[in-house]
Amino acid sequence: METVWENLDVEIGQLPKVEDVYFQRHPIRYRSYRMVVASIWWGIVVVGATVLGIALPEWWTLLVGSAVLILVGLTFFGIHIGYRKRSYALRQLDLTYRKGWLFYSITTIPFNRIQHTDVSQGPLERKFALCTLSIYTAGGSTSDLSIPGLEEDEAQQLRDFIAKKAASYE
Amino acid sequence: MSELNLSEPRRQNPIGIIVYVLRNFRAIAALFVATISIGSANPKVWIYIGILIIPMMVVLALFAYYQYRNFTFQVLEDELIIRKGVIFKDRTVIPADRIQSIQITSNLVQRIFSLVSLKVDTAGSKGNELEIPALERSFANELKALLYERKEKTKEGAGALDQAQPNENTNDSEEDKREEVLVHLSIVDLVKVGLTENHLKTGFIALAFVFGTWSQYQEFVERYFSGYIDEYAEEVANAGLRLIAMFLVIYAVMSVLISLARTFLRFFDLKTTLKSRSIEISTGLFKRNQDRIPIKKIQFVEWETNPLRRLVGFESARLHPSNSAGEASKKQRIEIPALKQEQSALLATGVFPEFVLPAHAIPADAFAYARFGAIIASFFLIPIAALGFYHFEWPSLFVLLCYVPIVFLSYQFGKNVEIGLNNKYVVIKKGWIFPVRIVLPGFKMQSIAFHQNIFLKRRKLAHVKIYTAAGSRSVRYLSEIEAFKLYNYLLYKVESHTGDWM
Repeated sequence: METVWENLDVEIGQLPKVEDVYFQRHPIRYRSYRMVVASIWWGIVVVGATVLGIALPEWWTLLVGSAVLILVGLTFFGIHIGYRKRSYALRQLDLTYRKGWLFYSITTIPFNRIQHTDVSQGPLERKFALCTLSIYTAGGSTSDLSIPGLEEDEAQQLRDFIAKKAASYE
Repeated sequence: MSELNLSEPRRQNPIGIIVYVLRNFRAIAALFVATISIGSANPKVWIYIGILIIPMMVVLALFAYYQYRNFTFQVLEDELIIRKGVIFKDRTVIPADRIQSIQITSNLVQRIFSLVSLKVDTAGSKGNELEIPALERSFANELKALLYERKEKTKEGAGALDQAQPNENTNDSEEDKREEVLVHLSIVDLVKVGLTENHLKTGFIALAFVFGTWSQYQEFVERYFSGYIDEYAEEVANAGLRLIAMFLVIYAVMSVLISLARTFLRFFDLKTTLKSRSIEISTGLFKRNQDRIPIKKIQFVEWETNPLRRLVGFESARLHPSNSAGEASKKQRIEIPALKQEQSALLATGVFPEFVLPAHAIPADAFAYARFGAIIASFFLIPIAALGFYHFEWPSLFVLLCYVPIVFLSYQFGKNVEIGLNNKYVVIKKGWIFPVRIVLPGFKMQSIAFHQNIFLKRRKLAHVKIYTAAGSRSVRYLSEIEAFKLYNYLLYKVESHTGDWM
């Protein structure tokens, strides 16, 4: 069905399309980083499940075991496939981040709505020489965007660029 | 212009001492109650109570006096200065332009002495609002007006340098001109609102209450019904039904009563006044709240109703101002429970200048909603049916008939989901039995997200979520193409908007 847009002052078709922008991917070692993080988490779960498996009757062990196996498989497959989806795009007026294989999402924050930004680096991230850029708007914690897995100098540059852009609207 | 002269530090109304005394007593009330309950069991303790509590009360009363004496406030140029403290002296300076909002409230004690609190909310750290707890109402109103006046003055000074906001100054003179009472609830209206509350929701509160008091009556009920069970063994099932019926009646009556009581407490004598730059709401039976919400701060307005309320011609509106310090506690109060159609229209145009409903809207995919309903229902219907089949065989498969109403309701819900937009405003409608309508100025958006899981991708559907400074709202199951159009258009609206969003 063709929907009619009422009294708009621009031609919708002429607007820049977020879906056609050039998206910048993360360095490939970010995928390894995510795999390591997932391994640690799932390691804990598998240990827990094994303990549970010893305590429970046999058919429960099978059920829990196969559920954990499927989830582990999905997680690692998701990280592998999802790496290609995870990317950010910088435009003149906004920043876009997209991610997700099973649950794909695109988020855009216009520069004139950014409150502040910061770059952080956890202990494991330091090992991989990766940084996380967090962007805060007035939308509260829910609307904050964080872009993990950036090269250290890339994150700094990005932050400086965004901060300068955001400050120009003050 | 206000003639209030507050250049000298000033104390509050002397009756305020009583307010302070009672406040301090309340702080030890728990201790008091605890000792009394112990004391009633062991009379000897009464002596200790006397020894302990009475001097404590004297000290607290003295303390209250000094609290009153040391509390002064002063308005110098464009700063509010508050000094207070007995042991630790404290001096707080608030520049008028930092003031976000000023509220006048009064609790039961204050109302007895006809005093009010003036609370100043600043945009600083969270929960750090300032309170002047004992003022006469007329004085508080004057002080509030004075503070707002100073706030506007500093803004004007800035505005003279900054030519970008010419509207501000023209609106200033309008402030006094426009003062329209939007709603003033009569008792009849109040009863109508109370009776048409969402009883399902208040019913849950009633349920919690019933379970809370259940233990008290358990013995009685068990004795009564065990008699039945013993005498008419074959009627056990019947008695069970009767119990359920009784329970349902109690549930319904409780829900309605609680709804009424809550409505009276919250919305007694509710008065909403529409001014050109703010909305003022005063409401409440025992604890009267006076709120002033600057229109600029309102991020979106949400109207909702239910079949009963629609029957009496009312819908309720919830204002969503941006979250700032002290806002969380205020959140639930900014509701106008009874608006007639023309009042709704007035509110819309009052809050959002030049508001017109978009003539066309993008509909959501109703079948997607039906599918979603069916999937969610399967999570519990299939296990229930399977378990039932295991125990009672074929008749239990009638459980699966539940799919029909669930799918139907989901479909109807989805059929009523749409997002309309015009030059300035986004209007989201959703829901069939409990319809919700959200009006959101496009430029107030903070960020936007597009969600599409792997199943939606196959069907070329997607969700769009709009984030504002007062929370987010989403529209689900739009066609992918329309979702992207919406996404790009709203971004364009925000990015091409010059000036403040708040």
